[in-house]
Amino acid sequence: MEPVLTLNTITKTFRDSEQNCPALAGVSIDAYPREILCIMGPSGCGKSTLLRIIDGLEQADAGTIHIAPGTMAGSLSVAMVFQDPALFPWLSIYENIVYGLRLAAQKVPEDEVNERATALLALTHLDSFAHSYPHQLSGGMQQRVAVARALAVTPQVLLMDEPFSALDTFTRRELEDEVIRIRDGMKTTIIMVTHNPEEAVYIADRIIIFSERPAVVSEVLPVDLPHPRDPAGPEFIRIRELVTRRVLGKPDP
Amino acid sequence: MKGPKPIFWFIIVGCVLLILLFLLLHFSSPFAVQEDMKPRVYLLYASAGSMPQLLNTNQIDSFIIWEPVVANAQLSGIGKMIATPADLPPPGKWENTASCILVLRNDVITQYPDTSALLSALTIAAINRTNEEPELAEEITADWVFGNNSILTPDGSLDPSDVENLSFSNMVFTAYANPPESGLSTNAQEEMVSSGYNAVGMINSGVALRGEQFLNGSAVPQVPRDIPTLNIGYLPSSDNFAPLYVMARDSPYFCEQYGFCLVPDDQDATRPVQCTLFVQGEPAAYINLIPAQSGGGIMTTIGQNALEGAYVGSVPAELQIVLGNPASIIQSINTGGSGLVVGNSTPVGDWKNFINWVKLRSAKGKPVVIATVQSSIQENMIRDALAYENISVMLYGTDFETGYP
Amino acid sequence: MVLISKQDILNYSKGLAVILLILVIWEVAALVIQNNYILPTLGAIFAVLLHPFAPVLGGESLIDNMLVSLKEVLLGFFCAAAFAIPIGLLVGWSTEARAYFNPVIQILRPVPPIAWMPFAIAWFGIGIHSVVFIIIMGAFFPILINTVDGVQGVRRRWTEVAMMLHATQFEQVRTVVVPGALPVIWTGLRVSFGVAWMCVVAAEMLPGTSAGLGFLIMYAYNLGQLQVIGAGMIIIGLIGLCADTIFRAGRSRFFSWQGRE
Repeated sequence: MEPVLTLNTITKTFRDSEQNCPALAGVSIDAYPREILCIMGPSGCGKSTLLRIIDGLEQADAGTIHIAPGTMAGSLSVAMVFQDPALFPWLSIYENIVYGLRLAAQKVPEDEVNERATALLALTHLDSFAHSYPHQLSGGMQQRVAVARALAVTPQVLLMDEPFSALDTFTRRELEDEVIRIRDGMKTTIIMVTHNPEEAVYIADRIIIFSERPAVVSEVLPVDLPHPRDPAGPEFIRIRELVTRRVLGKPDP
Repeated sequence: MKGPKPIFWFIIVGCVLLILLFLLLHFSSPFAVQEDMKPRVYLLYASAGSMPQLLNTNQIDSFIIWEPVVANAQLSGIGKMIATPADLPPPGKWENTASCILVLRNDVITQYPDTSALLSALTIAAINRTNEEPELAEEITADWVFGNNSILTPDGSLDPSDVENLSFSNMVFTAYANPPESGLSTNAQEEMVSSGYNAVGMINSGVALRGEQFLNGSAVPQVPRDIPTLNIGYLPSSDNFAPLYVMARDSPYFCEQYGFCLVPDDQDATRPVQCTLFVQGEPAAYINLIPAQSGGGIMTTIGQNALEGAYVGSVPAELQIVLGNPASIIQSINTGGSGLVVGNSTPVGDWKNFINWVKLRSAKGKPVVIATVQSSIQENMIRDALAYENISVMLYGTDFETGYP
Repeated sequence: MVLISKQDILNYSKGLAVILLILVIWEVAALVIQNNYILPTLGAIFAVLLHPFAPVLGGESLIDNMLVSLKEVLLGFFCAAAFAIPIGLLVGWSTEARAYFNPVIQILRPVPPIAWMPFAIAWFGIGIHSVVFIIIMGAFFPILINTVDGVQGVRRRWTEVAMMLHATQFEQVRTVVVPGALPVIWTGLRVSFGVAWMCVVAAEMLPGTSAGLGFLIMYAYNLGQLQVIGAGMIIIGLIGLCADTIFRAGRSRFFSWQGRE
């Protein structure tokens, strides 16, 4: 199977006025269609930077990105959900979701806009909030809207940068289930940065572990458990502990 | 974030369009087409200092103002004087009427009768001195009003003494002229107060009489036990107050001649403020000469007890006294001292021509614009004259026609 | 929409109580001083206020003068906004533009509008244009500064979302920066209107003005009729209050999200 996204030796150094801060030192990753990838690693090692490079918000110093063609008209290859929902407070939930579709880059006709919006509102269980405003919603619901907004442009790859870290455990669990549902329903590839090993093991097909800065991929751990996964199950716990040790750089017992 | 080119140009174009729009509005005519049969002029209130410039840039057609602004404008080549107050109708009204006067607040007169009389005496003496030594008076006035420098004009510069020479030829200094029956005051009085209007009744002649007694030696001024400080206002841009300038700057003469005089504390100042009134070498009062911008403002300040009196135009004083200002007219300072000026290229030589020109311009839909100082004797003169000629007076920039008795 | 609740009425009464107290103190002082040139009585002031359509001091009525001033202020205010908002958007958005324009803005900003008066006559001649120019000079900078601040205060994340969705620079400004900055711009407009309204009194002292509340105040001063000045001041205050109420209503209607994002 052809990867939908190929990163080849991505290198990035942040140049300050005084010093250089190397973040990524040649990261190579392949992402396959309909895969959920979780990226983990020590704090501040460039994981967010990598997502921003994929998304075009930053430029890599070296290396290539290749995204497989075959996107439908009126959609982007890549869309991103940030750690904070960053909804536009002056727009309603509906307006926020369809924001991307109204831009010149997408050129989606109005009736299709409505269709997609209705479908996404249903998918994220936000039907009754279509005309509410962001400040009227809880953090978890706002994050759902952010996900819907990103999905509205039917991206091939959905990037998520610690999207649930600011939420409580229960809401997290709900939203993690939703991520899986989205992948199943919309057949999107999802790359998520997370600091939570349980979350990673709960949803990922593969877990990519970054080294300390300057980061390279130090290990790729496949998670072959079937869905729905039981966080209390022994295999789950084993993989979770393994992941934790790897991230911390601790040796196996 | 780097500068976005299209937005930059969009904003530049937008601003340019707005500037063009603004300028377009600027050049459109402010005057509506006239439908009346009655000819009209526009009256515009401005400060004395701005009028020559406004005439020079053709924003007004004429102005009526006090000397030396008139003389200055003539010698600068900005305009020509076509009428003095004596030329303005009603015939003979302004020939011998007081232009500027001395006023004092009533409670000052009551509390310090001899000090008030002294001031009057000095004023009369100064008027006489001015009439006897005109060159000295012109020199002092040139220094006081214009300072030590030559006057800058659009084309070069003028010697202040030339200006004063011309200006003085348009003034007669006298203590005995009666204040005018002021149309403006009648106007205001009808609006606001129902008691009778009587200009001569505003004079407190007792003060000047006592002053005369001091002058001819038949009475001796009593120095009050509590030496008062009196603030006396005046308009430093006007030649009409020449006797005041002479009084202050030529004090040795008055000390020697009469035994009482007004001596500035700072002998070198061109416009002294703090002065002392000496009687036989003893201080009898402290007098501060306070420069101000308008006659009306001076009168209000008197009402507010911040000035005790002033050398001021007769009309602003009457206007306020008729409305209740507790002050009295002591005596006149001069007659004349104003002029109606038009641009050099205007085909007008006297008042009759002027009126014909006014009617012509009005018929063409471009009424003449006359500038004057608000609530001044000049405003009174021109409005009296225009009412006499049956010309209606509109306030510039409005469609409001002023009423007049 | 703004609804009036019992709480609102209670709040308004508190304000009203303070105003009444001041009026009582004023009247007592006026009766003691007994000098219309120093402190006119409330009776005299209200005599003018209660006949707003009657000629004042032989000239136009209070209402006519008020309308003239209002016209000048609105003209100046909208012209200032038309210039200041686009320039503010540019300077706020672009570091390049900021480098060019910021120094001159900081130098011109503290200059009081009154200082422009000699130039107003020289450049625009006598009449309404010079008055409007002064008002523009007063109204311009609050709007400009607030627009710049508003743009710079727009959360970076919002523009990143727009960039992420492939919005062009222009679309980013139109759909994110402008709406995001709008509450702060609105505050700038509100402050600016207040300044413009204050400027009109000074501006109408320019030669060539024959109408307006500022002109009326000067005219009344020259005639020693301070009760007209008092009436003029009250009208000026009331209009300022109306304008402020409109701005606040606008804020709660359109920008209730501000501060809760």
